[in-house]
Amino acid sequence: MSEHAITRRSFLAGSAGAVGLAATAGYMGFGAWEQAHAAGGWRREVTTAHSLCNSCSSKCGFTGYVEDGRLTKMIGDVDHPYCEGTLCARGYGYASIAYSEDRLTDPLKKNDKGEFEAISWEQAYSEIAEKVKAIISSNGPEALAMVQDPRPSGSYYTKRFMQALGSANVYTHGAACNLSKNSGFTQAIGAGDYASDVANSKMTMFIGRSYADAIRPSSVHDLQRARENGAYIVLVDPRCNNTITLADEWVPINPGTDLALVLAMSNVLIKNGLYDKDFVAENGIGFDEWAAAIADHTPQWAEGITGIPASTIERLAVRFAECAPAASIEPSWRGAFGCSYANSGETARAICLFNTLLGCWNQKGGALFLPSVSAGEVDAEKFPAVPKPEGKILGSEEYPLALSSMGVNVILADKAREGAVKGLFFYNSNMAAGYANPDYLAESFSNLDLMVAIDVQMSETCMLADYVLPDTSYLERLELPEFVGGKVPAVTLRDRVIEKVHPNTKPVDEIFSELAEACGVGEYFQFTVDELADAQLRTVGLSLEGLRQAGGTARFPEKEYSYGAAVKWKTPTGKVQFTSEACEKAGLSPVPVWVDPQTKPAGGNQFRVIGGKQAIHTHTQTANIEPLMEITKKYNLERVWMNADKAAQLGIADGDEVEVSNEEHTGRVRVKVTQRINPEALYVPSHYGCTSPDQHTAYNVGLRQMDFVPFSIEPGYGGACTQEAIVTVKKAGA
Amino acid sequence: MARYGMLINTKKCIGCYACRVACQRQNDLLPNEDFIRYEEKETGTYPAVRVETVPLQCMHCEDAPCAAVCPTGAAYIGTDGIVQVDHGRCIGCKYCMAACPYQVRVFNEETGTVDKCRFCTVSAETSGTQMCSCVEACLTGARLFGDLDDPESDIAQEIAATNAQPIAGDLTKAKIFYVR
Amino acid sequence: MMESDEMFAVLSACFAPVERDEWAQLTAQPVWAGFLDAARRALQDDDALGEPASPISRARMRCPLQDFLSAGEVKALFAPPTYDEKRAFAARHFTGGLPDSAVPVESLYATWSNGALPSPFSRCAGMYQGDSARYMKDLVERMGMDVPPQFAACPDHLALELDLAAVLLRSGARDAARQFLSERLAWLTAYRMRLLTLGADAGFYIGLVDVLVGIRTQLASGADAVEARAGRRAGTEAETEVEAKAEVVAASNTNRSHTCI
Repeated sequence: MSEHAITRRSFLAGSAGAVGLAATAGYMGFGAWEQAHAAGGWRREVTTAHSLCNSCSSKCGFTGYVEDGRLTKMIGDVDHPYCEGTLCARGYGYASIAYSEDRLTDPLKKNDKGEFEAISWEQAYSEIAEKVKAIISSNGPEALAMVQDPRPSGSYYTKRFMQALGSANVYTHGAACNLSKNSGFTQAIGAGDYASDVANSKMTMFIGRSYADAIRPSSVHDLQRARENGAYIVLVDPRCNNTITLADEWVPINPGTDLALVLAMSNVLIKNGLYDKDFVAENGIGFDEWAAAIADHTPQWAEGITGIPASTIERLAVRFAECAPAASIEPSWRGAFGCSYANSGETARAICLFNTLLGCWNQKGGALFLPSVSAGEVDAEKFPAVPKPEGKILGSEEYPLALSSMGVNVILADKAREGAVKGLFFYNSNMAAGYANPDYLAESFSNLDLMVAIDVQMSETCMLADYVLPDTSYLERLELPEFVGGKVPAVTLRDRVIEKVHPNTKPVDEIFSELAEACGVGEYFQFTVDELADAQLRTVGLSLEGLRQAGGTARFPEKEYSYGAAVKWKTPTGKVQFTSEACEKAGLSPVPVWVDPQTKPAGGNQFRVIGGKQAIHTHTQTANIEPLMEITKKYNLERVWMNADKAAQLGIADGDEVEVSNEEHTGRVRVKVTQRINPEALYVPSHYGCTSPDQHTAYNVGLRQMDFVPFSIEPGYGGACTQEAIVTVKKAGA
Repeated sequence: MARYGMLINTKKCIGCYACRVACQRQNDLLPNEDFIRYEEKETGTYPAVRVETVPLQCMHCEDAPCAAVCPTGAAYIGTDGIVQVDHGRCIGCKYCMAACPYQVRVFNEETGTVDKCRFCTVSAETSGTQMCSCVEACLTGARLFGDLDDPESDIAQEIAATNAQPIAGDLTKAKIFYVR
Repeated sequence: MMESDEMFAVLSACFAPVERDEWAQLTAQPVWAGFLDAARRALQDDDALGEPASPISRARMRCPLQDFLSAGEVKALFAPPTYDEKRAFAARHFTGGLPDSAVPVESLYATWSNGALPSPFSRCAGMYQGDSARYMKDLVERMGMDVPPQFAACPDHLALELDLAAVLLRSGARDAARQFLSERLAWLTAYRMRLLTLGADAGFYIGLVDVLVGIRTQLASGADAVEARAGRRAGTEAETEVEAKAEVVAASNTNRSHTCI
């Protein structure tokens, strides 16, 4: 071989290394190319695809317009039940993630120096599988666990993968989101959630939930309809959030004391006989016990705890009674009692009991159990069932009230410390930054033999991992059908909008199918996501192609909800449980009574840290999106909020830099001095303080709420106690 | 010819920034280039506090100070009454930015020229093209767009019904009306 | 004597994933010495990339590489990395999403689109598959070739841009190659800044980039001389306009955060 052979080899033209005259005639300068495009004369294929947004958990439907391979326009789908034709700022902004320079492009392995190096998928799979097998043989499959923030395909494949390995340890992000709430609801009403019929209500109370800040477009639309219908809308929140525009009253409660408010309002209804006695008698169990237990939980008593005047509590309770049954306390999401305090689960339980006093279940304008549809049984040969693992999910003994469908993910930190968990997988989850104290988690995870994170960009969790596997972005993949409950239930589809940008990234279905193969349990993954999606849809009378043709959303009108249906309570007693045996067994009061939060600010320069969303961000997930972060920067949205009177006492002025500190952390940030917040609370927006330098836009802007939160788990329910944090604040340099 | 204008109902505005980001997408703007600016007004004292978000953008004034001060004719009022920027003529002197009482003109560092709201939603109005303009993106329907001179139009009727006014009264004969 | 097309092929291979034995052959003597000599000549040839020069004119080009590059860079260039060193560097720096990522892709150093194809985020900077990527893909296809699958995310990968330059030269399209290189290599100024933030083992690549930046400068200054000699050869397109555009692209990157990581 001549020496030229090697220096004339070409990626483009092969070993010939050259092209003919006709080909070189095809050469065109960049300027001419640009002009040809601008003139519109270039081949420009326009395609559209219906898909689901991924900038928050609502997964709104949209139509993506793709011209010549590029996403050019996004229009919200009118038919999608959560979108109703409008997307939020995040929806428009987040799409750029597909092309982001911060995308992970190759599987990565951490080397001896702690640096990541690109490796092949084969190497990643075989090394991970080897470690998985070693852990199983030495500690059993229960030493493996998975944490994932549920997405249509992710929920299915992560669970199937772990179960195939024999582990029941599949956790959602729930313990840092809505675990306490859903678990508390379940104790009272046998259901993890319900929906308030806001639009048709005469009165709805929101506790810690802000439709205008954590936007689901249909919820905003409902609230507007409620306003048009003359509903009385009450916001209970230490912070006067942006929903105030669409609300009538702000109740600036002391953070962590919502339970006292709900108990006192219940007390008013019971004492004055203003509750639906027939409904309670027919549906409830243990009412008298509860009534006796909260007899002293009067508005006067609650005033001292909540900071809400007794007269206000009384007035709100009476107004509720007047509006019942077209009234309810809205179920919230993460808000104030999804996972925030030592009393969050009990708050959730009390709210269900309060709604029961209103007799509003399944009543127009009240609290509804809306129907949903799910996929039926698919062909057992093609999609064989995985044997259910023998063990129970770790944490279920310590936190018996926690829903096993979510699990107490934060306990994995302690399990890793104890050595009970050796291998941990993360899919679409930034646990290390968002679920609990980051330092504590990092230290815990350093005990693991194997840590694998799957994501689109280098999250703080990825930074701690031994292996990082690059996911496709949501715009590049088909996922399993997403069933959406509602008055008319629906099924929706996340579909490929654009071609995969990075050839070496893989969607979640491929990653877990191939990993399963490497781990020796590939027999449960002998199908593609397209095949399973189609099979699932066929069980409900649809098909993959059919759903695509239908615009990505199909409704099930035959399942339409109707008001007034009697509720079949799925509690152990078949009743609304004013008293719960399980709670008693878990060491809680059998009936919900007042429980103090773990911590309380002592006044002076002490504050309780509260979090909460801003309309342009979702947790820490969107902070690296430039068009969204520019809004943060322009309007200084990273500032912490402090009550104006408190600020004056402390000599702090609007825009000052302050030092926020406690035993866990000290950080500096500017402050927004405002009338819009309870003096006990310091609002730290939940989106900032990114410590991953690979996220060029997000890095080092603002504070991270979780840095200030000591590691702690809510008794019984397993919530991450994300607002059990007291800090002192002083003017920086003072 | 239609005299286009907009109505913004701040009682419906939840300050979510969807219109800003949608506008950037619709008009290919830089991430920090915003045709819509927001002013948040907090009134009252704790706990009796109210909040109003006021989105501001080019008001397409009939008496446009930007056009009056522009030395090159780059800022001008088009035949349809829409205030425009001729980027070829703009020399980036920023006189117009200083003159604009609403402070809604923005300087594009990349091109060295000034830009602002183009009333792009006209094309949705006239051709029915689906767009993500501020009007169509608004979650709460706080924005209406249409012909101010057509007494049958939604916008004209809503202005009459709500007594909506330009943000600064008669100052510049602005064509964006506010319900506050 | 290594010709310019071969020189670009070697440069391309330096930034691309190539097989072990291929790298061994390229870095063995006399190939590597020939490459360095070709680079040295390209940096000082008035008619850079012109017809193969006569022995006399070659003799005139005597300035050593040291005149164009720093001592450290020259040293790095004279001692190319082994295959394992090259692979390790690529595993840490030529992959995306890492603190030390320095993927040599033009789109990451440019505004996404200047309007040739409007999109929801045209004016964002530093994203994959910008205009330069679309252009490269279109160009490769117009010339009857295909973008190799491993470059699907980034047809404007430096390796592919250099490879295309080599193909153009080898196929006798020298004017096109000249224009192509002066258009396509403008982003390397910004890319060089990125490389500077990496560790000492980036020296080899910084040296290569400096060779390329130097060649581009040479192309620009030589353009007039060439034109004069060629008697206003038809077909030279509006180079100056192209230049201006390329400068804008480079300038737009100055406020990216790459340099302060």
